[in-house]
Amino acid sequence: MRYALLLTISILAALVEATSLALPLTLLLIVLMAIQRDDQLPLVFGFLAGVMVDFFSVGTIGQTSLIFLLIVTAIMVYKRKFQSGNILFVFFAIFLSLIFFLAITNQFSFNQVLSKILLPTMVALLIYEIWTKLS
Amino acid sequence: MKKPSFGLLVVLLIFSFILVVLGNLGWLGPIKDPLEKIIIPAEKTTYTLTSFISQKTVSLLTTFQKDEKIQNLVDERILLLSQLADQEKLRQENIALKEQLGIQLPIVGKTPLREAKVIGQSTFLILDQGAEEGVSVGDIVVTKNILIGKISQTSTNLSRATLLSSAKSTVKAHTLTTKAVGVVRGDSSGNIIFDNVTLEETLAVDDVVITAGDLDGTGGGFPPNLMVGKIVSVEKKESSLFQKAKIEQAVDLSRLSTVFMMAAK
Repeated sequence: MRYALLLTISILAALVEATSLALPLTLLLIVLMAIQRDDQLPLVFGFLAGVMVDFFSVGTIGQTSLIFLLIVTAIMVYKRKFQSGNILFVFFAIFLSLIFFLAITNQFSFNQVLSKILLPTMVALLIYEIWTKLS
Repeated sequence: MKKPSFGLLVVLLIFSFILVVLGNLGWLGPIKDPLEKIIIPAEKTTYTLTSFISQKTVSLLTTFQKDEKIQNLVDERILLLSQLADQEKLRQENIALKEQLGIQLPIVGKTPLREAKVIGQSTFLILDQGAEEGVSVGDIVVTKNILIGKISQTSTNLSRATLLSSAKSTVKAHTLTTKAVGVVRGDSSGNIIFDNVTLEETLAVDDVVITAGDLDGTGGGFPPNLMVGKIVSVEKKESSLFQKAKIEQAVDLSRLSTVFMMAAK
């Protein structure tokens, strides 16, 4: 049931990202999942969400999956070195993932650090805090 | 669920890589095409819904500015600007033809346009026409005579257009009144820049920028006389080799629902 809900949210995020928003919503979802969970789910969802993003945006299927998998792996590796749920770690994980993703997809710009990186990071941080409190 | 394993990561990475290769070879078609037919209505609905919400939000914020009247004026302005560009071009062509009186010019046939609906828009456009309808990579995307972008990827039922504001986009262009030649390109902030203009040339605010025409017959380049936009600011430094200007596109992309495509080949 929980997996079905997560999958539905991922599909919706990929759909909205491809058709209407110039923000990597799906990436934020995957990053939060990678920080929050200690199982294989972030890897599987990273792969599936990447395929969906490419499929909905008429891109090369598999390309975004590769990027998502690298980001999820990096978060999972570094998560072990930090205290679980450390707010600074969460902030930097989201922040650096966004920079990496935007840079690799040729969308990074210093003029848009606030609107495309800092603001989404703060929103994702808030969602993470609510998610942690609820679960 | 199990702890994350290195084995699963490797399998997923290899699988992603295989998908990229198969996609580039066009072997994913039998799986992708039927699925695409299913998702097109979902994409259309999402786009319509989110556009409606964003437009309503904007109109709510500008209620006191009589937004409808302003929008009509903006539309009218866009139309007049494009007509002005046409007229100026015709006037100059007329002068040139008069000067070369007696020389027969070849008759250029009109390029057929293919209509497409916009079903998605973020840093690119998703259009509801694909390879099945004859769309190919390199086709030019326009509305009226205003350049919007170029088809960068196609699938059987859909296509993706790179916008002028994309960092990957470059168009050879010139200004209408001062004839300054340069390159229109996007930057990663989503702005359209008229760059590589030598310091000797004149760039003026409000001057219209049109494509110079650099079709190469292989799907590269753009046809001439398509309107790119209007110069809103000029950046000129004596220490630089070139000057540049910021361009405001002549069309509001967020309100774009239909575009036209013309073959570049």
